[in-house]
Amino acid sequence: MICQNCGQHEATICVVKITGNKTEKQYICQYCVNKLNENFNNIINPFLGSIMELNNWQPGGDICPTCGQSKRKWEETGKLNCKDCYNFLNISKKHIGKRPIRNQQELYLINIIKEKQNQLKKLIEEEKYEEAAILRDEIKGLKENKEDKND
Amino acid sequence: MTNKLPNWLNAKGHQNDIVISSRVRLARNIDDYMFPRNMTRLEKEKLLESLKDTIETPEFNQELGKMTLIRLEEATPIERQYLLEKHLISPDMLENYPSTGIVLGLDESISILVNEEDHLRIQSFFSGLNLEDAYIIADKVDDVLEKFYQYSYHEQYGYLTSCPTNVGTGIRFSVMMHLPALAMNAGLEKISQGIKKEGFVIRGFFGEGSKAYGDLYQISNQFTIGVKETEIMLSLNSKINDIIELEKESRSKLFLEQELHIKDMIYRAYGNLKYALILSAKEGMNDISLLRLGLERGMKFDQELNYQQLNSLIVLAQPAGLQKYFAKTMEPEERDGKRPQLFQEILKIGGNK
Repeated sequence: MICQNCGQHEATICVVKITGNKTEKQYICQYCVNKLNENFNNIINPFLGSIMELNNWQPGGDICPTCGQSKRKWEETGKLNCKDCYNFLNISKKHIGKRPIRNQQELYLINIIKEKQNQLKKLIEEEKYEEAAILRDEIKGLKENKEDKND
Repeated sequence: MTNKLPNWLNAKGHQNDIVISSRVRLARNIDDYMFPRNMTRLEKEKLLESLKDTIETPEFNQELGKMTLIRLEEATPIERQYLLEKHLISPDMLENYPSTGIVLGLDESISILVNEEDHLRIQSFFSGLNLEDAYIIADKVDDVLEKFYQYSYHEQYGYLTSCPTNVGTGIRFSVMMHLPALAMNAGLEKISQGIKKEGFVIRGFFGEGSKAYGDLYQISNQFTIGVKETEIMLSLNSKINDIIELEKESRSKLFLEQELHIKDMIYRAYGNLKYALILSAKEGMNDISLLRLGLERGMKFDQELNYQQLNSLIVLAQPAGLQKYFAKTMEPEERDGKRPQLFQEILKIGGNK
């Protein structure tokens, strides 16, 4: 069944909207649901009295949470619709080539943080608490830096 | 849109007697969208617009110079066909061109396809055998684009592509070669089997199946994950050099054992191009192939030939190329009647005038 909202993707969710005595049902795709959740969080109107109830129905097999494609469809067509569809695959080989610069920086930070954590452990064992406190703050700063880079 | 011929045809590269061009392609997708086959028209337009803005930023221009985005919908059918014939877009992209685009550098040696099978496909072409420079520039374009977009990347699977056959490095190295002697002595089958074991494939550049017309073949890598980009490049380079040796050996043998026969074929091709009044693309391509062989073997012709002329004919002899050259829309029959003139002008041979 095709999504009744966008008419583009397969409908995998049933949205039930209850306003007062009226009950509306709409069959939409995961993508539209994501959009709906976005909008819903932005509109805070407790006086409208509308509640949304989401029912997931799965026609069969696993479903990609981002695009709604079913695993069966992927096996039939050999086509992936979004990057999260890669969860259907089981590739034995590991990529050893180029990494995006962002990932290179992240890996670098992860390694530095690990190293400093080991140093911190040592300082605590040696009861050098003042130095340890300084290092702990340093690590905290690096972790926040890493989080920034993830945005 | 420019009538310019791509730079990679200039025959200034290494081994340009047998190797026509080298190409590197990188497939990239960005996190903000699902893969192109699952994007709405609006989203595709949004991405195109975003590319247009990106290539106009001072930062981009500083690194890569001036580039322009061409929306395929805004091009004429002939212009789109011409892009295909110059190997800048794929047959698939030609068929599904709405909301797709191509970003082109001034000399067309760098291009970026938008919304083809993946969000971004970086392509670089160099003349002759030159995978290194082709890779270096594609790599640079990749680094620059990454400043503007967040790539879909997975620690184990690498760069996530819309087709799993490209996942990992997302890289395709291809080399276009002229292999008439190996085609004649059926040596290609053996080569095909040999290189397949190392993860490379050979296929005819024009036409499917048996003999590729024009004796032009493309060798490219099949595997994209579990290897480093540079490893694939070195391995392919080595294979290509082996194939060049084999082709040259086959040519020597051919000219030794069947000298009269092969020279006759080559001179007849020259005569054909000089005097024919009707010339199909296929026939023209086969004639160029023979001339190219003759040129490499040091044969003399009335007018001196060079590889650049022969390379440009590979593109201009095709339907859209021909129509672009004469700046006139023509049906097949008219084209076949006009093609001899193209050849005579490019090769500077007299003709029937």
